[in-house]
This record gives sequence, C-alpha cells and structure tokens, in this order.
Amino acid sequence: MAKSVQSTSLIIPADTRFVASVRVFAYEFMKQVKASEKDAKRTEFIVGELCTNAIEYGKSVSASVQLKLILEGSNSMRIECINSLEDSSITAESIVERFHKEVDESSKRGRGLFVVRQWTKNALIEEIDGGIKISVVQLF
Amino acid sequence: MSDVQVNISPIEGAGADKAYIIAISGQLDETNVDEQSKQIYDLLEKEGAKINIILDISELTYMNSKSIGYLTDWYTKVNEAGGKLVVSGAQDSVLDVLTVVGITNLIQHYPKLDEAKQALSA
Repeated sequence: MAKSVQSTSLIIPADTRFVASVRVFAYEFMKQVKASEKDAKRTEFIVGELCTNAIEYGKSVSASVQLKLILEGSNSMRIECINSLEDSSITAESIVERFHKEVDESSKRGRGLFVVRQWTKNALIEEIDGGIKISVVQLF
Repeated sequence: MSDVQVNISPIEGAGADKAYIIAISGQLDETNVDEQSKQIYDLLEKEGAKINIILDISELTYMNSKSIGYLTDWYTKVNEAGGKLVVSGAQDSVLDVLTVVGITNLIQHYPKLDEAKQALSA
C-alpha cells in the first residue's frame, strides 16, 4: 500500500448481509499495513461485531452504517463505526452500558462488545447528528 | 449469506453413550448462525441431549459472538443432561476469540480430533 494512504471509509446499508465483505476488507487493510495475522483477524472480528451491533441498534431499513479505519502511527488503528438511528430509542448511554458489561456465561448474547473492549483501548461512544459513533483504537 | 456447512455424523464404537461429530466449516456469522444452529438443536432434542459431542471446527475460519453464545448454550444443555461436549481443532484466530471470552475455561478444547475422541471415550 502506498505510504500516503492512511485511512479508508466505507458506507454500507444497514443489512447484515453486507457485514462479511466489510470485515474481510478490514482484515485485508490490516495486512496491507503490516499487521500480524493475529491482529488482522482481531480487526476482522472487531469490525464484524461493531457493524453488526450498529445494524441491530438501527431500526430503520433505510439506515446505513459507516466504517472508518484510520492508521495512527505505525502500529495503531482507529476503528470508527457510525450508524444512523432513525426512530430508534437506543442511546449512546445504553451502548456505553453494554460496552462495559461483564459477560454473563449463561447468556447467549453480550460477548461481542466485551471482546471489542478487551482488544482495544480509548473507546469513545457518542451521539452525533443522526446516529451514534463508536470509536476504538487497536494497537498492533 | 456467508458460506458455512454443518455435517453431523455418529461416532462408531463409541460405547454405550451415543456420540456424534459435528463438523462446522466456513464462516459462522449473523447471516447464517440462527439457521445452521437448528440442526444441532434438532439433534439435541432427538437424543434428549444426553449424548457426547465433538464439535470439530478445524475448517471454521470465522465465528462471531452470537455463534459463541450458541456454543455455550449447546454445552449447557448437553452437560446438564449428563453428556459431554468438547471442541476440536480450532484455528488460531477462532481459538483467540474463544479464549478471550473464557469459553476455553468452560469447554475443553483439543487440538486434534483423535485427542477429542479419546477424551470422550475415557
């Protein structure tokens, strides 16, 4: 990859059918910036979970999800996931709560954001115009 | 929809308890895990869950968090009914996820299928 390319951005429909291609793209992007296989696969998982959650939280079929991968230095990737939440009651506060929740071993859900929390730092979850932005930093 | 295959086959000569290998290959994610898991729930229902299961995931390249939730549920059902469920052959990236959520503390993982078979027959 050319040295000048430091970031990339994708916008997908809020439909889980599109998540697989986005997470594979994120994996390939990490490989291009010389991340290890382990870290690239972690990025794939993080992106998959953030996008899936964003789609789940966005209730409108017309909503979209924007993913940004921003290389900060030689071994730090900022991952941003922004959704548009038309007619949704989900707030940034409720997502912050889920993000910091411990895993309930008996529950089938709730592990995705837990893993994201384990593998990233500097999480920022905020309401922005027309949606919610989750931003995390993965070191590799 | 992501490609995934689930093959369920009985283990011959497994002794008195019924035993199955459930081989999952491809990618388990939001687009397919609900549908694919039905086969496994059908097996648990048919056999009354008191069975031994090796989940062979050596050809599984991606597993999302929801899939891990299902895995936990299958383990709980089998375990509560007096059976055993173990995992075999997880690739490094899948094992990385299973480890960080603590599943490897709950469910035994064997790198090789033969090791898993031995563990079930013990």
